[in-house]
Amino acid sequence: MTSTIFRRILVGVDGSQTSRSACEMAVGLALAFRSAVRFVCVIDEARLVSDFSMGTKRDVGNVVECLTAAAHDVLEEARQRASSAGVEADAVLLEGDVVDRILEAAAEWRADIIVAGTHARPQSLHPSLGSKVYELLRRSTLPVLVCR
Amino acid sequence: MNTFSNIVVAIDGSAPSEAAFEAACSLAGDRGGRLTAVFVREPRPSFHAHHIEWAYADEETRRAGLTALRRAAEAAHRERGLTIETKLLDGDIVDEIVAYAKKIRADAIVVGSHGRTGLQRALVGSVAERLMRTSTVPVLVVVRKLTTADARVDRGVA
Repeated sequence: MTSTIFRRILVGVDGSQTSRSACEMAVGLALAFRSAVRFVCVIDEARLVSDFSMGTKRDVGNVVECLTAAAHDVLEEARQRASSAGVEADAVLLEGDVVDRILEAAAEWRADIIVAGTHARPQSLHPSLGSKVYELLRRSTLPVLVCR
Repeated sequence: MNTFSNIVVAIDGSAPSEAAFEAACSLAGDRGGRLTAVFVREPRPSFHAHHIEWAYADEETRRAGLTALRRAAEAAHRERGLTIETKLLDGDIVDEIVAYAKKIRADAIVVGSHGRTGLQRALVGSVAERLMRTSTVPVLVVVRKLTTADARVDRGVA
């Protein structure tokens, strides 16, 4: 008999080391419970623009572009990690507030659990999931597995 | 990879801690994982005319802790056929859980989102947050109780 409480595992990724641990844990859980995995990466473009333009009207399109490309890489790496372990996984890139989007994505997909890393990259300017995991924890109604 | 094969779950009799216990049982269950329920007695103040005393060694909390642990073990056995281990600890809740998890080489810690404190709004997640900062193993924070429908499916009844 297989337990069914974790049918759908949503993993927030941001490319940090702890986010990699989160991927590993999610893959392990998915193998144990035969769950489906969805990797989600969120880019807070409004925040990014205001941070990098320092409040001026300067175009920061490059920064957004770079980060979007990097987010695609992070998601692809996670997806490949999962599929190499034989776990069914997809990946979604979202734009907006990190915690808002993760919670929405989890609700929409009817996830049973959210997995995330504890820390962002050190001195990261961009509000990635790791830097906001406490907020996620406070606002989530789903179980949250926090990895480091 | 063997994930969640040695789990520590903290219980304190609160609803979120029951939800945490359910989740821990599901994680450990069916796969022969080791599950240890811990109850941490924190020092309690007793108020005197001119000072406050902090003590662990009161019989009432000891009995409450042992009862909660025994009930948890009985429920796990009755409802899921699981044999779990139990441990009563004294001290700071976060320090004790982390130290015990390390001692038995647990690979995950499961806790409820908040404990029995009356100041829930102010303190929501404070234990969970400190745990996440201190623990070197993954921490699963469980918020709500599983619905009865979930639990039925989980036991293979539905």
